[in-house]
Amino acid sequence: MRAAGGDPVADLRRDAWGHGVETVGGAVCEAGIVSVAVDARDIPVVEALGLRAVDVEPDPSDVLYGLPGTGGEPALELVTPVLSTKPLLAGEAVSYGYTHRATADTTIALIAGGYAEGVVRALGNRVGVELRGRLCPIVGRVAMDVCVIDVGDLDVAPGDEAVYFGSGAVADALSAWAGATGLTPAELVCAVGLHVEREAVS
Amino acid sequence: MEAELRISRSRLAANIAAVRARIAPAELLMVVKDDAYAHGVDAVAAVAVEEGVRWLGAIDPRSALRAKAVAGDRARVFCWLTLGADEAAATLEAGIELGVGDAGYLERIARVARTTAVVHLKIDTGLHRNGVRREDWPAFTARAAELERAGRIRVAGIWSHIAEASDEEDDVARALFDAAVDTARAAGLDPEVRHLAASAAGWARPEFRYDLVRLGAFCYGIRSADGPEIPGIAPAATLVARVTAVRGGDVEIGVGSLDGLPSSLGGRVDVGTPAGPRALISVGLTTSRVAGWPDAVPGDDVAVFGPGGAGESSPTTLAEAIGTVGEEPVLRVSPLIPRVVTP
Repeated sequence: MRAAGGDPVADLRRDAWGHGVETVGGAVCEAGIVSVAVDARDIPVVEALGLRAVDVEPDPSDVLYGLPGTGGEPALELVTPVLSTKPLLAGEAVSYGYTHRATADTTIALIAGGYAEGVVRALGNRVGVELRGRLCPIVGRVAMDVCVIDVGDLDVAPGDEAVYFGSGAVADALSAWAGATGLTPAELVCAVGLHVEREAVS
Repeated sequence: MEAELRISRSRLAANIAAVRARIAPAELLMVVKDDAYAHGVDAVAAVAVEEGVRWLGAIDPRSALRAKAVAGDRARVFCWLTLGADEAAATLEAGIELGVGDAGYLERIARVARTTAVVHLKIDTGLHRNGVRREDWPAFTARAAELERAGRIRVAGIWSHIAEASDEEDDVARALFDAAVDTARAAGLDPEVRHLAASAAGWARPEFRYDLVRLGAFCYGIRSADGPEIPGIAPAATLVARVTAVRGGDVEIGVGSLDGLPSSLGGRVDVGTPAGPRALISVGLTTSRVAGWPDAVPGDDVAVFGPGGAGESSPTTLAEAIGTVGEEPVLRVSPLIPRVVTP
């Protein structure tokens, strides 16, 4: 991060954009940044890390989180288990409003993740998830808690992990999410991070 | 963050009463998934049972467990996510009934249940999400009957979920549902309750009500997108942000896109102010800009969405401006924003 004049101020507000203020604060510290903007409730957390909470408008911080367009590595990866699989036959439809209809027999998987978790409803029929190295499209409307993906001839079992964004072929999928939803990568990643179970990895 | 989500207990109670009167003699299964549609499941479940609601339900075990903890024996609680063995066991242990739409899951439940597991079997009537396909249903119900005779499970319900694509397609789904219930009975099962409809069909189409109607949205006062106003029902939640600064003709309010207010709403909707409706000009990360009014001062309340008392739009009206449903802007409200229960 670089500021126009003086020291950069990293934006750690809203639990570090849903990434976890403690984890991000630690990384910011290691990177040699000393000043951060945080919510009042998080001031003790960043001060314990040796950071200085400042009351100024922070610098643009997309790069800190590796959001699309910054050239950085995404800091947050959204992973979800396959709940169940079943055949979908040619002509059969999927989810509310039947907005997707299969043109040939295939296999579909129900995966966790819906607009209650920040998987925006507008993403249905617009983006895919990565599963076993392949990009599988989300078919039909995204519901509040789940969505359906077309896995084709992939050998998939319940418990297999699908990735919405943040690594591999979907590293920069938030860019496609932004295009499909009209929302910014910052608000997309923040809503997800604040609503799902979060786990810090190295 | 200068915002809070105010939940009106009396509004919630009035919505529940309107829904129950409408669907009677069918019973209400009030959906409290996802922390009661982000309203706060503890408070919502308490209001529901006080109002006499006898069934609560959630897809996520977290909300179901909270609801059961609040309701105790006063309400039956239904949870329909396909769970792993440990979570299924813990959920059953808490006295929760499980929705089962997958043959493997039925076996898993029968294996881990310490006492007879109470389940509701789900037929896929066309939505193709969770639910057993029609051609697999006879074997599935036969197996369930076998497990029931062995005392491993008790089939309390048969259920499905409709697509609401069109009345005709929903009628097809309903015919498949009726056939599935017949098949289950022929297999020796004796379900107490059948449940098919959610808010929209449950309200509008009596033949979809059966014994239980699973209603979420209307209980919270969220009408269907592009659907009619529902008499007797109004939003129970008001998202309130305080004015943090007055700049020229505009005011800044303390809620932004990182708080779950979709930035795409900027320039598209009105919010409610002490002087009535004003344009939401733009949405920033943690603050938003609203067209001002005379005498605006920091600390003034602005209603971003709610029942309309200050001229604000309902969540569904906001949602329609950006092509989605009313539930989405409510569910996006950040968990960091305090929920405040009002009378």
